[in-house]
Amino acid sequence: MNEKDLVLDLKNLVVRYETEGGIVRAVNGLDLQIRRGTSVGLVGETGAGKTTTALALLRLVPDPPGVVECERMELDGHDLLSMSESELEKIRGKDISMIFQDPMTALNPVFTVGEQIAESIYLHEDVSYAEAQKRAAEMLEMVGIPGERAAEYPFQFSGGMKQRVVIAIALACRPKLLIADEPTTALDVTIQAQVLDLMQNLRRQYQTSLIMITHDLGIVAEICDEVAVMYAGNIVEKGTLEDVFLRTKHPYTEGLFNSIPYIKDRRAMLTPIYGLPPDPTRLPEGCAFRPRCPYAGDDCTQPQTAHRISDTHYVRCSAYYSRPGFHIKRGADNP
Amino acid sequence: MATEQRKYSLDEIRAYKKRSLAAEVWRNYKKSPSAMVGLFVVLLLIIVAIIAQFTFDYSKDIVQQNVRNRLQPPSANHPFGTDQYGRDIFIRVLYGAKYSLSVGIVSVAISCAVGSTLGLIAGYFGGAVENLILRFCEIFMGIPSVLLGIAIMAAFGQSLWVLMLATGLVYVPMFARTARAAVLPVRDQEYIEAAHVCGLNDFQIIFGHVLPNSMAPIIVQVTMGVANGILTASHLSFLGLGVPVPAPEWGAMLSSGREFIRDYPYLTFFPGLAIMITVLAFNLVGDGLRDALDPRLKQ
Amino acid sequence: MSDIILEVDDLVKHFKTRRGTVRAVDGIDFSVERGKTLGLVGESGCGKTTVGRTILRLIEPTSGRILFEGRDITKLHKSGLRSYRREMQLIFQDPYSSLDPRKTVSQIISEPIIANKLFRSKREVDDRVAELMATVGLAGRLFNSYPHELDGGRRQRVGIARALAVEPKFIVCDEPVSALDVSIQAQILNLLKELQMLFGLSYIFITHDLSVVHHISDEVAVMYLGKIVEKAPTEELFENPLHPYTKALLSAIPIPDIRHKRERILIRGEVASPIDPPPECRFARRCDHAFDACKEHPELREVSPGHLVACHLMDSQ
Repeated sequence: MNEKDLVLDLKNLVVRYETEGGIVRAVNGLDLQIRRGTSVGLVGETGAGKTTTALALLRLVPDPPGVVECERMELDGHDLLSMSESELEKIRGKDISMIFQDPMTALNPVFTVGEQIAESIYLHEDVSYAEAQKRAAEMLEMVGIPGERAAEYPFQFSGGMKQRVVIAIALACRPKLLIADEPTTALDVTIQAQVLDLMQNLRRQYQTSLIMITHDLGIVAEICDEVAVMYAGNIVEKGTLEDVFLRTKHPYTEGLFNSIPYIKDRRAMLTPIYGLPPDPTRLPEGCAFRPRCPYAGDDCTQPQTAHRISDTHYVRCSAYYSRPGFHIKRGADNP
Repeated sequence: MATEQRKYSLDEIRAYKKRSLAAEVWRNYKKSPSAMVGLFVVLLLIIVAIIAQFTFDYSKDIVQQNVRNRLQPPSANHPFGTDQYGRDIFIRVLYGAKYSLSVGIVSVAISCAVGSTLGLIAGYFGGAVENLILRFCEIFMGIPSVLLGIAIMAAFGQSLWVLMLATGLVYVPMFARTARAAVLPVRDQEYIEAAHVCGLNDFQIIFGHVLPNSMAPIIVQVTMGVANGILTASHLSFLGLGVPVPAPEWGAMLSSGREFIRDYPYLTFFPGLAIMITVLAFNLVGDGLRDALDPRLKQ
Repeated sequence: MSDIILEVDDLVKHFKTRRGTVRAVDGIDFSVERGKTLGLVGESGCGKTTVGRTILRLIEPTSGRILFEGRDITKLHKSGLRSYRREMQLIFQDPYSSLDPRKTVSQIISEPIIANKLFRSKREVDDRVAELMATVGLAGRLFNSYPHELDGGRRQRVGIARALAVEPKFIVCDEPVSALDVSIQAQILNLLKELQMLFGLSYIFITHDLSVVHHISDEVAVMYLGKIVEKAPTEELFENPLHPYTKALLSAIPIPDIRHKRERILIRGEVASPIDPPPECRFARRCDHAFDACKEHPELREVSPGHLVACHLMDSQ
């Protein structure tokens, strides 16, 4: 992989929250590399560390109680770790921006949406305020809202429209990396389809890389090029869509697929994953998924490392090197 | 699928001990040093009030004049000095704790019982009932509290019990509004709907679900209300409308000492300090309780 | 003829507001067979939750009849309503707000038992609670736990146990899994299916999630702005959707399968306001196929056995 092609290069990210009730191990040694113009789906359940990872990238993990340690965190070749707060402020919203889950609270109710988009442009680019306002109206048109509605306040917009405004703000400075944290969870399906469609088009147009944080494998299948499945603060499987969906390797990924009501076969009982996600203050030794894993063996208490399946496909499961011929059920269907 | 499907026997279940809510609240309450100081002072005041009641003889130690000893500065004999009638201020302040505490506590009991019930009814049923109760409260609140107190004292005469009643009635609207505001978010919770579906009647729902969940602000209001009650009672006594002289009510002591404030400030300083410490202690307890009562703050 | 447990006949619920009349539910009919599940699908604001609440008389209907085992329950008074709610229960969407935070698991589950005087002695009540907890898969050690100590899935199990406590025949499930993670969602869906088989329960399953409804329902009714636009047996609806809205809704679900790429039908615009809507077809303004006839509201009519559609396109064919 060409070094220059990487928009994000993250190595060994560790985030923990030191609270009264113990140390919450939110992210545990996560590696993530994103090439220019690609979209990566970060999939996992509540508490898997998806949002914390995103906040760490923006250097927005609250400290205290959060502690962030990282070997390498580079955005487009610039080291984010050594930046001062004022340098970071210049980068946030310009080179890297984020869309939050709830569009209702992401906008400030006392400013017009036009002002809020213009503010981002005015802060980050060398333009007059009038110019920024003109560009704000253009951005609104881009996300499918008539430019003259720039003078309206957030309460005059519906949920889907607000999310469009949030997207307009996030993309106003043409960021290199956009992080979207469950951007459609609060929206209805038909509106979700509209917003996903819009994000996909704008991303292609602007050559923006995207980290799509979601719990919905369906959304990943629709708009991502690559998938990273997170469990207990680490990526347990990463690969292209085909790698993960057709040649699934990790038992947890398999469990996720088996839990989704599948339209093709409705009479079948769903096969949920046994048990509950681990308490992040008391992670099990070795593989965090071991207590819930149907394939668990003695070797699983070892510290896990990423096992390479192909150039694009990695799985964090020690069974693949300690047990010759090991395979999971789902993977076997698609050798 | 689920592995927890074995039916547990009753004895097995009973082995998992029930933890009382009060114990949880106490555990949280203990964490705050200022709240503990407040509680300590309140308990101390109550003990002092009880002991003083039995140690001192009212006619001899508290009200008997001793003109030879008048206006003595604080000394080893009279730690807080003596007043214009030669009575020991220290003893009078200790003895006076009983008036202030009982006025504070009884008046709050009155305003809490009446006000919270009105507020619960207003918040739970809404509509015309709510409107009527709220408008009534607003009219009531429009009258300055001291004026209202004076009117009640004038109508019923001057005694400790009337003072308690007057102070209590003054704070009814505050409790009604606090209770109503606390009920509103609870009323819309789905567990209230669930209770209807379970077959509970309005009475069971109000006292089984609504009240326990809107309790926190009311309890806080109670402790703050004790402080307010003590202050209002002091105001009324200061105006000569409270406990009749020569009883050593702190407000009355302030009032009678005010002519001497320039030359003998300790006449007013010590009763004033007593009021201040009492009010502060109750407020600290209230703050501590507010934090401790929120079940969501618990780990 | 099949055994109908619940029949809803021209149900209307209007809310008067300062800005006009909100037609939350505007004349809908459906019925549920004993032991079966009717899925009620629609987006926010379509009135599906109001329908669920009206069936339980938590909201009073403006007009219409609700027949439960042949009895019109809209005319029930207090005591009749109480015995009706022993047969009809509700499972809530939000396992966080549907359990009283100050009550323990056993207190919550025992509440309907005590309120309806099903058992009297403390020991009998506790024994019944333990039995219910085992039925829904809750460990006995949670008997005295408080809701905030449980995760979403377990809390939802407590809600289900509470609903089962009165041995109902019918349960309205209002988005019971939409607040849960997928793996937990699957556990709860399986539990609901098991309980249906075990106790012969009938369900109305209200949801916005079509893949969930597909999994659990025998029949599906799609709602749009207070009206049912299409109703059919589940297989039929998913294989042969006829209403343009149903088609769009189906194609909008993201499917976690990259081998079956589908043509997506994006519908433009957003759901219109339910306040004093014009008499035209509610979906006409967003519909790509709208034509002159759509100025008038279409009736729901049967196009094939069991498959009902409210769309003028059906007449023109």
